[in-house]
Parts: sequence; structure tokens; C-alpha cells
Amino acid sequence: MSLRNSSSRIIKAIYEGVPATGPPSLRTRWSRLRYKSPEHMQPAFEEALKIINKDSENQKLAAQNASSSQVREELYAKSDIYNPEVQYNDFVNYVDLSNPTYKLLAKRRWLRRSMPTMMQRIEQLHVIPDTLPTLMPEAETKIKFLLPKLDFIDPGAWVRNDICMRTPQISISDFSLPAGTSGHYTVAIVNPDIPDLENDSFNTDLHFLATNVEASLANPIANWAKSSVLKPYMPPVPEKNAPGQRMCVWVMRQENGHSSNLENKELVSEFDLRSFVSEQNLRPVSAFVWRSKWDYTSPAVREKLGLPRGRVFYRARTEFAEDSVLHITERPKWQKVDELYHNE
Amino acid sequence: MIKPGAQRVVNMLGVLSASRRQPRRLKLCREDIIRHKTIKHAYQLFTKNEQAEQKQKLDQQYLRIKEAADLLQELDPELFAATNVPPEKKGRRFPLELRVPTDTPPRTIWSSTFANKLR
Repeated sequence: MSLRNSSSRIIKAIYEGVPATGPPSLRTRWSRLRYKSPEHMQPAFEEALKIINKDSENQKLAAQNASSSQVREELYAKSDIYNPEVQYNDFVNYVDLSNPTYKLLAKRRWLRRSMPTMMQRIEQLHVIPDTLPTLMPEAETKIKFLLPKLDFIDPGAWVRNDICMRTPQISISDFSLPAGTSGHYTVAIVNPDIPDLENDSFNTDLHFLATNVEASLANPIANWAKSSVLKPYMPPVPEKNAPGQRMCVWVMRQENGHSSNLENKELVSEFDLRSFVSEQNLRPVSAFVWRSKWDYTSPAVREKLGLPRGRVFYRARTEFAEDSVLHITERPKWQKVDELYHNE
Repeated sequence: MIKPGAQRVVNMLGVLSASRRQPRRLKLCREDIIRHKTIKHAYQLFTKNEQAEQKQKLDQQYLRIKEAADLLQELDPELFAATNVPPEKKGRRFPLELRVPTDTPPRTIWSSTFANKLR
């Protein structure tokens, strides 16, 4: 109630200029009285509003004659984008994302900031050719491990082993769907960095698979209880001196909506993401990656999961580097001391 | 990289005072930020419309010129060829490389036999 009240006063101040009592958005009386607005803003603002309103009317007229509903929605969204009230609501994040205008603003912000970062990390860490061939980004994926003081993590971040032990909370915002609708998704977490000593190579492991995950822009957070989890979350358990492991999260839209075929799918022992995607008619819309390597919490994680103690790898001293069993690129000095004391 | 106009202000302030390389940032309240943004957006729209208008005008002019040239080519091909001779092939002309007036003029003030090099 108080929000609406103060907001209406603020919006009045936006249209008519800051009153003599000071801007209502400032909290204390002292700061309100101290504030001085820039001079001669009101006539410029009124002229600006005329231009913006005229442009908005033109766009709305164009929207009425639009051929498809999608184009019409886009034009309507664009027509209101510079409205000061809309701009204020977007500024204070008081938005309803089922509204096409706010959706467009959110999409532009994603395209400018998060999407390039996400694509950069996925390309630099070679998630793209290693797990799936490529990605045309259409949705934003954010990941959080539910712990106090821990926000959404950056793509490509190193996460401590005891933190990524719990099932991640995943938020899926698909900007390609029409406003106000929700989509069904399949979420897979694969790890392509399991050491395979026999072949001097790496295997891919499936850590998590959930299908029929419903998400919309208004409710982006995936509810695992309401979706069908085919494989419950298995945290990464990297071994000492082995290279860091990439946990690649793939969000794939189910083009046919809710699918009972996927729900009853039986997983084979060796999971192949590429064939799974093509078989089930899934469209990869977004991805995420975080990394984990052996750290001081790994033995405790293994103990909690009831796994045997992990192996410790050493660089094989051979005549030629390519003959060594496992190529370890980095081995800081402190790790050597550590293994003397803990033998883990 | 900042815009040339802003760079000019920075340079001027840098000359006046070494300690202040940029003007003090305006502390605006939310209302004024939105008002400022609205003015900025309107100015962007205005310039965009102006540029579109100018482009349309130039396009129309180009079309008219082309029409006239095509007509000339039809009516009198010789005259058309004569109009399309590039300026450097016409030989000696008024020196286009004319110098800007200066306090320290060169020894030879005017090259009256100037001709652009034939290609």
C-alpha cells in the first residue's frame, strides 16, 4: 500500500517536476530540503514528452495494421518503451514480466549484459563443441546454491565442493516465448571431464536430468518437485591433481510441450546428450557452466555421499610428454605439501 | 573511449586545473534521472527522424540526377560523355589544393602553372 502511495507521488514529480518540498523518492527530510533539481528541465521535458507521445501513437497505428500477432505484440511493446512511468517502474524493478513492454526491456538488458558473458564462457571453456555442437541463445539461465549470503553464481566460476553438494536452484527466463505464456524444458547437467585412464582420455558423466520443467518469465525458478526428475543430482567429486571439471548445464525447450514419453524414459548407463537431444525433439535454448576441482572439502563430500576415498594423480615421468598417462598442466607447490600431511 | 565533445571538456578542465580532470558528477534523484532519460530518448528519436528525412531527400535528389543523366545519354551521347570526363583528365584547372591563409606564407605564393598529375 505504501509503495503505491509513494510511487504515485514520485510519478507526479516526474511529470510535473520536483516539488518545492523536495523529491519524494528521497527518504529523509534533510536530504529532500538539500536537493536541488537542475534548472530549466521542465520545458525540455514537456517538449520531449510531446515527441515521445507522437512516436508512440505512430507505432500503435502501425501495430494495428501489423500482419502477424507476434509483430503486433512487438510493436505495441516498443511503442510504450520510452514512457516515463514505464522507465521508472523498470528502474526500480517494479515490473510485471507478463507485460510485453517490460519483457522487451528485460530482454534488451539480457542481450546487452548477461548473454555475451554466458556465450563467452561457454566458448572459452569449450562447452559448445564438447557437449553439444552449438547454441543459439534464446533464454537466460541463472544458477544458485541455496546458502545464506550466496547469490546467483557467475558462469564459469569455480565453486567449492561442499557448496555445490546441494541441488542447484535454476531460473529459466525464455524471452522467445510470447509474453504471459510458459514453456516446458528439459534440464541436463553433464560433466565431460571424468578422467579415463585406460584410453588416456576423458568421459562424459550425467549428473542431473529433469524433464517437463515448467517456467515462465513471471515464475522463472524451476520447481523440481513438480517436474519429473529422471536422474537426481549427483555432485561433482573431483580427484586430487586431476584437472578441474566443467559442470555444463543445458536447458532445452520441449517443442511439443509436456511430454509423457520423456517422463517414462529409461536411462542407459552411458548417456549421450547429442543423441538424446535429437531423439526427443529438444531445442537447446540456454546453457550455463561452473567448475569444480579438488579442494579441502572434497574428502568430507565423498564421506557424506558414501563414496570411497578418491585417487591422487601424479604426472607420469616418461621420456615424451605425450606418453604420460594423465597430463596435468598445473600443480601448485602448496598441493605437494598438502598431500604429504593429509595423504589424500 | 569518450565522445569527442566530452573529451574537449576534459581537455579544457585539464588545462584549468590538474586536479580536476572531469566535471563533478551530478547527483540526481530518481525522478530527475527518469526526466533526463526521457529528454535523452526524445532527442535520439528527433535526430533519428531528422536523419531519415535527410536520407530520403538525398535519395530523391540522386534519383532525379540519374533520370536527367539517362535522358541526356539517350538524346546526346557525345554531350553525356563530355560531362562525365573526370576533372583531372580535363588538364589545367583552378588549383583545388588551395592553401589556407596563414601568417607564415611560403616563398612561392602562387603556382600559376599548377596542374593535377594526369593518371
